Amino acid sequence: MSTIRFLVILLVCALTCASCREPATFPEEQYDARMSGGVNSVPDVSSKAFSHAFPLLRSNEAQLHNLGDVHFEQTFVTAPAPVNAGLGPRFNNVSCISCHRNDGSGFPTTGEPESALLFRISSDGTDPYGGPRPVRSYGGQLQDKAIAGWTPEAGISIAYESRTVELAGGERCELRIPRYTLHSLHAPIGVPHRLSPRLAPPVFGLGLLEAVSEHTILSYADESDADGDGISGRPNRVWDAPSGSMRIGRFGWKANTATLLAQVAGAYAQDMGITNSIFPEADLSESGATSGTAASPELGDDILRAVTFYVRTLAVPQRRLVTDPVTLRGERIFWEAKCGSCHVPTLVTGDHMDLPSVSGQRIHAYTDLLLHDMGPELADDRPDFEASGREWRTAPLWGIGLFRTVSYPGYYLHDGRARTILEAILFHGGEAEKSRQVVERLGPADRAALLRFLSSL
Amino acid sequence: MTISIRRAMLLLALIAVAGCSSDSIDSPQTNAPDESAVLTDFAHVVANPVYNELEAKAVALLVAVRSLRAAPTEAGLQSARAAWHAVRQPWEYSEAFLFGPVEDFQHDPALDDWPVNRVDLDSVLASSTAFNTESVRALPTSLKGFHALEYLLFGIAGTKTVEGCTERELQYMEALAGNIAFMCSELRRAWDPAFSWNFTAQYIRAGEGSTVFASKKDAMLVLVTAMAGICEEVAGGKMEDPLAAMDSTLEESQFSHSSTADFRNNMIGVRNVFRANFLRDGRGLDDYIAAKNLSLANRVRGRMDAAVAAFDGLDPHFGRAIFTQQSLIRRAQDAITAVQEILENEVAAFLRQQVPN
Repeated sequence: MSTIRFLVILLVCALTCASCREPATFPEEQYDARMSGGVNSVPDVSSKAFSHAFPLLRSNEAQLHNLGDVHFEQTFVTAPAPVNAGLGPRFNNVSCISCHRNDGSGFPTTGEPESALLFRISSDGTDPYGGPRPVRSYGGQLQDKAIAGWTPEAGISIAYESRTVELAGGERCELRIPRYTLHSLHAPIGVPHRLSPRLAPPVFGLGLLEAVSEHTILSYADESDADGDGISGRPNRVWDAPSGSMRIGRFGWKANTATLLAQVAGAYAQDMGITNSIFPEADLSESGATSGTAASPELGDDILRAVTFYVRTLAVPQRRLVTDPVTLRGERIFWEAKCGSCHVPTLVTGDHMDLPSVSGQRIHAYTDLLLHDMGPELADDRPDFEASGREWRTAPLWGIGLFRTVSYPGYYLHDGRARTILEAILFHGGEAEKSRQVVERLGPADRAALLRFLSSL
Repeated sequence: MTISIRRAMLLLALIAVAGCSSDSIDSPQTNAPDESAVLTDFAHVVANPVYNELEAKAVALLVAVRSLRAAPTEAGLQSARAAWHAVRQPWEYSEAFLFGPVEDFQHDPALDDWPVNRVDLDSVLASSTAFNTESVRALPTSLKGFHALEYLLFGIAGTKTVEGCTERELQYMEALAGNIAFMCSELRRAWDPAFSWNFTAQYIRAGEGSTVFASKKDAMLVLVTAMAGICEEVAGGKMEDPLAAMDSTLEESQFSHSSTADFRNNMIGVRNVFRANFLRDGRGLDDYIAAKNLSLANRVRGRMDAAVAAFDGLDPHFGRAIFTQQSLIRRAQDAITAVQEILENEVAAFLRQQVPN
């Protein structure tokens, strides 16, 4: 009797195990290539293409997103004021939307109302967390505007030198290389310093990038180039103020920020001079100084969380032309040139109980979120946590074909020096040197196909 | 009895037939405009004429403010205020199509940023800075445009008198009005087909050489996105924020008490775009849709009419209405949201399906 019972139990176990399979993925061709953001993809090619909420937000989530949307566009003014008080006293711009036009990029200028290029500044050495060391009287970022009665920290002049690249087939492409000069300093700098220009980047799809697990990011790292392909991506490890811990960096041109909360709180404090619970001081140069009689902190946590949720839940524009033969040819060239070694097309997000929309999504951001040596011409020679002066995070390519539409005329790379996607490619050096050379040698038709593919993203 | 029943049935049938207006029949219309006609008429019947009027009203505002400065009188102040109200109307219409030069060249924030930075504005007035159109152009957006001028012309709660206008304020008003006229003129010229590069050509030639619009479908969908966008901004932001917070300082045109008119004009602007109707009737999206789905076209038309009508009876002083007419405000918000939803869901889906790539 007991033997029979044992056999029955064994049979049931065997049958149960046989029916238990690991969840499988579909073959590549069974996924809809248009869905760059998984379920969070939207079919808009207008200037508002980066401004849509995730389509499947629950009603309370949609409400929070909308609240954040409103405040993302709010202009701050000098205190005291009945609305949006606390700007500055020194700042780079007056609202989030002023730099992130239509939730996209901005203008690579300084000092103008519409300018979206800021400069990080640091002296040699590191801060207590291994990050860049602030400069006395300046903090970690130059604020080039100020409220009435204050002077900006500095003015920054930009001059461009040009360099012409001749491509196979005779096409010539003129690249512009920026040179920056500080003037009108509000105080002597007094020590050797390093500057790094940073153009405001698009803010859509960030919640999906945040949802990629650290394990997944690390799986693409190859710090010592063990596979010998000349590509040695490595993660940045940065101080995350909200959690008070070191984390893998994933946001910012050098992946120097780990979480969206830190990114948004830092932007309020440094870019607009709006203090908040994460960063109770605007910038070290203004320690203890506030404008007028603004509240302290000037931004409530409810607004900070809402704006963070807003950028976390901005949807990704769908790809276009996914069955177009020329685009498909361009995609093959993308692989042949090994662009995909860093611009990794597909990542799968982790599980997030608090926000199901970002859980388990197969996304096509075309980034590995890792740092790569991009050569001397793009180098800012300013280390940022573990990122060296030549390293930059692989920029996501999703939506790149819409930059011109969303934030006309469209600028590319960390300082906006590139005016077209082709120019951006031609600035690639370091680990991307060979890929760039492949593109330079492409015939006109193949180069056009590659650019058509990139523009479809 | 049998005859009575037959007569009654016949009568019912006649009533039923009579009740079937064309509005409820989902059948195609003849003489439907094609995609090119819709794009052409949007540009020539709506966009260009609205920007023409915006420029004309902005120049009239500058003239009125100059007159006020030359001879500050109460009548002159009232004329300048009337001119300010007048230029706001085409501006609010144009907000139903906030794409192209108005956003590419940052005219929108430069003309219509909010709130006014009153502390800095007072400092600028107290300084010795010379005011002119060019110097104002370089100022932060919260110190220029319609609302900075509104603050100076009307004062807090509309209490400004001509005696309260200092010479510095009048200088600044003139420079602001000059800057507004300059920007409105730039906008008009950016669309004007008479210029070698013009956005009208970029729009009309969508899919046929335009460097902005890859296809006519894209160009048509841009209208839908723009209309839905202003609906969301008005109902979900500009009306909702002061109402939800019960705070009249969150009202946008709070010095002139003209927010209610702004919102209504936004909705008229949306209707103008959908129907290609401004000063004259053109071939609009409504006609294009009606050719294949008259029911949808008419439902959108009806919702847009309802959104405009929802402001009937609403206090022009929106900052007061949030305390006294909450149900009317909610009704208007619902009507606007109904427009937004049908645009984003049904109209966008229709165009994606029906307009050739």
